[in-house]
Amino acid sequence: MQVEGDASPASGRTDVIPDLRLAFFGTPLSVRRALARVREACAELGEADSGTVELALAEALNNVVEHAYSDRETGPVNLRLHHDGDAIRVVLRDHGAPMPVDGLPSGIPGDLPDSLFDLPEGGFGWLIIRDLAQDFAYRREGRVNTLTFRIPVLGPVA
Amino acid sequence: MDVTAEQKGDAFVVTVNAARIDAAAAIQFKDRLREVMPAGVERVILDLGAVDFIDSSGLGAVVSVRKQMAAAQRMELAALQPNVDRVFRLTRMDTVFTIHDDLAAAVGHHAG
Repeated sequence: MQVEGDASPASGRTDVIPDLRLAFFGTPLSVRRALARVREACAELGEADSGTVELALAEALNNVVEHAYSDRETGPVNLRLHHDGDAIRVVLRDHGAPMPVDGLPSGIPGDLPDSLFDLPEGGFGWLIIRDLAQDFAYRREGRVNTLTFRIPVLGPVA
Repeated sequence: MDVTAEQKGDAFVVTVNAARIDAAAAIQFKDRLREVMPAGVERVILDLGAVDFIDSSGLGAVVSVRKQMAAAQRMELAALQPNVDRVFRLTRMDTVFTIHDDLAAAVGHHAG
């Protein structure tokens, strides 16, 4: 698709990125392939925004692969992206274990330990996704997890 | 994963010749780094100039490799691309690791 000279900054922003729907099995390699598709689809938003979307989705999808599913078990993942003006709206579904009932993880605690040998090697994922995305909602219906959130974007570079 | 290493000046430079350190590559990355790093090397610079994407798994792998080194050893990072630099800043790992904009400058730079 083309966004040529007639696209003024105010017009056509809401659907610059066509809706994207991806279905795949939750493995690290399939996540990598899905992210390549996302990156390609978001290219018109520019390097900074497409990088933001890729990173936020990488963390959300890694979480599905590592926690909802596990090393021994995988299952279907459905990802839907919709460009809505100043944000990419994300709907992410899986058939894995439910998320903790006490809400979405916040990531590692606010204070870093004094010694780098006490640094955590995990828990960075939610720290990253919480910084890049907002308006998280999670629901469990039957055996299906649905996580929705928005990733704010600046839109196509002039 | 293609990782090369050589001594340059006072630094042992480990270069990651891969575009991604993601969840699919993190374990390989960790294993390769352990392979190429001689025991007791004093100052390691991890050259990430070719890497355009790192996620929390890749970041965890970097932290893990550093933690396996001795306290007296140093691990520094160089040539981070914008998307990689951002991950280190978002997680405040930029306060834990010395980060050099440029590898050549990092090699020439003898931190006290």
